[in-house]
Amino acid sequence: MNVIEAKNLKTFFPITGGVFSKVTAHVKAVNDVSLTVKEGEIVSVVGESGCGKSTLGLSILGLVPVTSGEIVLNGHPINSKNPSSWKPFRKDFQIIFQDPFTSLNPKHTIFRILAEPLLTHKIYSRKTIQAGVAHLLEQVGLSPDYVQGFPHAFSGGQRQRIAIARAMSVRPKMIICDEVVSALDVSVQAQIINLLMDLKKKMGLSLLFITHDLSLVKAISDRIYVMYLGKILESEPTPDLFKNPQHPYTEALLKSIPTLDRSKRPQILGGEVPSPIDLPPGCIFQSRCPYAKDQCGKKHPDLVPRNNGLVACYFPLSPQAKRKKKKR
Amino acid sequence: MNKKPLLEVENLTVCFKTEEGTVEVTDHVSFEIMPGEIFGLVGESGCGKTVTALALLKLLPAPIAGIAAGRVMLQGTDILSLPPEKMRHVRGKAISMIFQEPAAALNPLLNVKSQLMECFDYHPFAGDKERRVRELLQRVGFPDPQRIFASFPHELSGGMLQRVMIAMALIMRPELIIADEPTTALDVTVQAQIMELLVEMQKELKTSILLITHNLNLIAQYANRLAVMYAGRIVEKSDLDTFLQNPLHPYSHGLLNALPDLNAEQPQLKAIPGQVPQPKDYEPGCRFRERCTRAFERCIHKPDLLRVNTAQEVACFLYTKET
Amino acid sequence: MKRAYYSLWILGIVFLLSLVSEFIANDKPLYLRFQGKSYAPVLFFYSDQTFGGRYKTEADYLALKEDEQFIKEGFMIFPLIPHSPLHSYLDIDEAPPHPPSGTHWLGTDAVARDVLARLLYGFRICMVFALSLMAISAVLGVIIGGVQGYLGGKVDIVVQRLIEIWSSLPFLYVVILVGSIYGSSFILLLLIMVIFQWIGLSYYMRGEFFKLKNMTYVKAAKTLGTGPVRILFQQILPNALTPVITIMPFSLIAGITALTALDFLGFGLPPPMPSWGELLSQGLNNLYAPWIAVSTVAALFATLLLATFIGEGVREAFDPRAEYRIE
Repeated sequence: MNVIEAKNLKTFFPITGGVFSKVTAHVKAVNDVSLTVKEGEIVSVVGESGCGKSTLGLSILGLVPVTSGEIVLNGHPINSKNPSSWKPFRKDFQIIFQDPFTSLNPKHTIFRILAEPLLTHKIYSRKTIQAGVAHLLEQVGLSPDYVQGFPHAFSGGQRQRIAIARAMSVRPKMIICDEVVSALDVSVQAQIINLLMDLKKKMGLSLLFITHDLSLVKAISDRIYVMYLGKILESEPTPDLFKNPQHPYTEALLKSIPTLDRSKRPQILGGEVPSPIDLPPGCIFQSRCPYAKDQCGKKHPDLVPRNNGLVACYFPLSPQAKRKKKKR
Repeated sequence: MNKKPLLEVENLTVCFKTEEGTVEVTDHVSFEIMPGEIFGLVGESGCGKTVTALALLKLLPAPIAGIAAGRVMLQGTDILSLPPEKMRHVRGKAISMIFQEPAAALNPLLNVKSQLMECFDYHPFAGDKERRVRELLQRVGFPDPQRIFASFPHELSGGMLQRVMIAMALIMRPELIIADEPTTALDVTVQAQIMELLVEMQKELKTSILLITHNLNLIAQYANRLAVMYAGRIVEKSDLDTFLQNPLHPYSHGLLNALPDLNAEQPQLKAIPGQVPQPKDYEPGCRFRERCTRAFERCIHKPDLLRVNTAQEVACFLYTKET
Repeated sequence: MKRAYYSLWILGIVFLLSLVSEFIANDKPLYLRFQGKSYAPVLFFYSDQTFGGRYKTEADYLALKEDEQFIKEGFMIFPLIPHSPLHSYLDIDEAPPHPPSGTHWLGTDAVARDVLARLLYGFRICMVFALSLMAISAVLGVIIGGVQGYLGGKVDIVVQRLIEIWSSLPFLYVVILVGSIYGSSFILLLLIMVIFQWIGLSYYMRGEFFKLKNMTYVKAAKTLGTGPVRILFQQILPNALTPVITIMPFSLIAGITALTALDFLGFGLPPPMPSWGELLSQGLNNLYAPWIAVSTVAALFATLLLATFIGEGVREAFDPRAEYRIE
């Protein structure tokens, strides 16, 4: 069963200007994105900053106003125009944010942060709440002695554990992880990821990772969506994407990451991400694409099935083409 | 490499005054940078790597931070003991710096030209100043320097701003460029562009670079030698190739293992247990002891950074014989 | 920080004491014993007839004290400062103002009223005025600014324009105008001050609510199914109050100075209410009697200094810069 099914999702933010705050343009943060997450699956959305990946996560949960599109959660269609239609699904769908320094209310103790959702959803009664909070903290590898502390007394990694405990408190089916480790130190990143993997196995969660870190994604996810300027350019099962990327952008992303292997120098993709406000016609990647041809300037290509995945490119790469280019 | 080092940092100790008293954020940090090399300083947030960089230029926030001990020898002169006006000649001319946030490092109210030309006010320069800047801008990837001259920082993207910063750092042909997390705020594709440019310029002008970052991958790709910093101390100093094949310190091991390897078929994430200590909790003994799987009784003492082979120095009792 | 703490204690104790000024400075005795019976004239009304007088009006205790008949049959204990702020001691030989003496420690003012008693009662009025001004305008500012920030959009724009129009009204004219129509009174003056004072705070609140409603912990609370009312009161409001608390001591100072200034100009509290501004203007008019001006200025200075110390302490306690990070 699909836990999340989004079809043609669009989230545009208006840009206002002038004395009377007239809408002059739109930032197309999420521009016609379709995405599914199956039960028990770990799916990643990868992209550079400003590609709309975070907005996509917020849109699915109705935390930003959605412009148009269909969202189906747990098989139930959501009326995306009405914010309260998400209400019955709040418990099942949780989100963990990037910055553990702003995602916990600084004025509340850890106990209060964790007890609140437990009481709201009547998972524990007032009498047993102590045990409930202690159990949650144990689950994420923190000592229950911490309950009376305030968030500022904890390190980034510990805070992220608390945020995970808070998300786990309502026993969700699905957690969206929005750059959960990018604010953390390398040695702590792995702790948090491993914790999430453990919880996933124990609780049968589905996970949607939103990240810019491709090497992290390779270690954990089953399927990957590559996002650029609000659109999905490619979607593949993880092994295929890393072995045979079909979209030139995916290829460039993979090659620009520095690794410990000194024989493989990062390769350069020229240019920078253009502004998402006024996009030129044609393929959104053509301004940076090393393979761009005339045809690419007419219309953005549709996302079509190819090999094991989906790709939005008029001239998708095949393994042979890659080899040819290397020899040159 | 039997040349004399360009920069020698000896026992640099920086103190911060806090409400709980004075804390040493770096503890006798020593390293040397050879002419024409890229020296990597790697460590996690709070380990003291940025403080070290700021101390080299005497840019620490004055009342709360100060250099408690140590020397910084630049081509034989101790720059820490220089009077302020002489120090100004060192900054920008002999040593220049590139910061993490290019948008914050440039004044939003001045156009690029006036900010680039500013350093001529402090350092003597014979020749056509504007031409020099224009050539540099072309060199760092702006085919039309006149347009960049007239633009203001907010009109440029992060990558472009960092290019401007690189040009600015190179104007006086410094002996050493300190690059503090130069690409952390940038996207991966832009990161590759900026690093490649930095390395090219370094080769061309034969300067040295002190590359400070938390990203070991970046160090592995671009540095010649590196020092690993943990909790205010250098725990390992090594040639890069040797380090990648044979890291000595348990922390270096852990750091390398914690990185997901993109080249592996099925990458594994091996975490280091525990967390980075805060400066106020720094112990006199080995500071990695709490998180180290191989710690033993001697680790309650402070390990010295000792040479174990021609290429490597390490501060760990696993490599010193019992005395 | 220590300084602020002590200042808070001093100012707090003096204010609490001033609330019972009637027991500290009064021309009625605290305790009176007459013909074997006890009386508490500060609290209760006793007519002159009670103590063997002729009239049904309240007994004149100062005259009674001198009365030979009374001295034989009873005695009375006066408060520490045996003067009322309203009583004119016109029986003293010389013309007022009288210089400090054993009976009038800080002398008397131009109409022979005790300066110390007037200072004490003036302090009370001043503090009550400033504190209520602070409290009422804080509540108004938080509610209006909060609603603006939380709802945003059209509500915010409309309210903001109204505030701008409102705040362009010249405050002093309003005070003079309203005062001349309705006559000045404590409540009226407070109301007029309030309707201008809350505006500054609402700006802060609006900004805070704008910022806080987009904080990730608010989003997290939403995904956990927390309702909007709980989010507003539990997640946003406690964090938004930080600037209010920081500003409060300074708005107290503003209140004290504003009232003193208005009284000084004669647009403030109606006479003969004891007030510092009125004392100041007396001091200015009677510069040959320096005890009036000097004692008033000293009292005003001490109060404002203490309040400033408290304000500094509060601001420091909430200063986010205290948290440092080193890389």
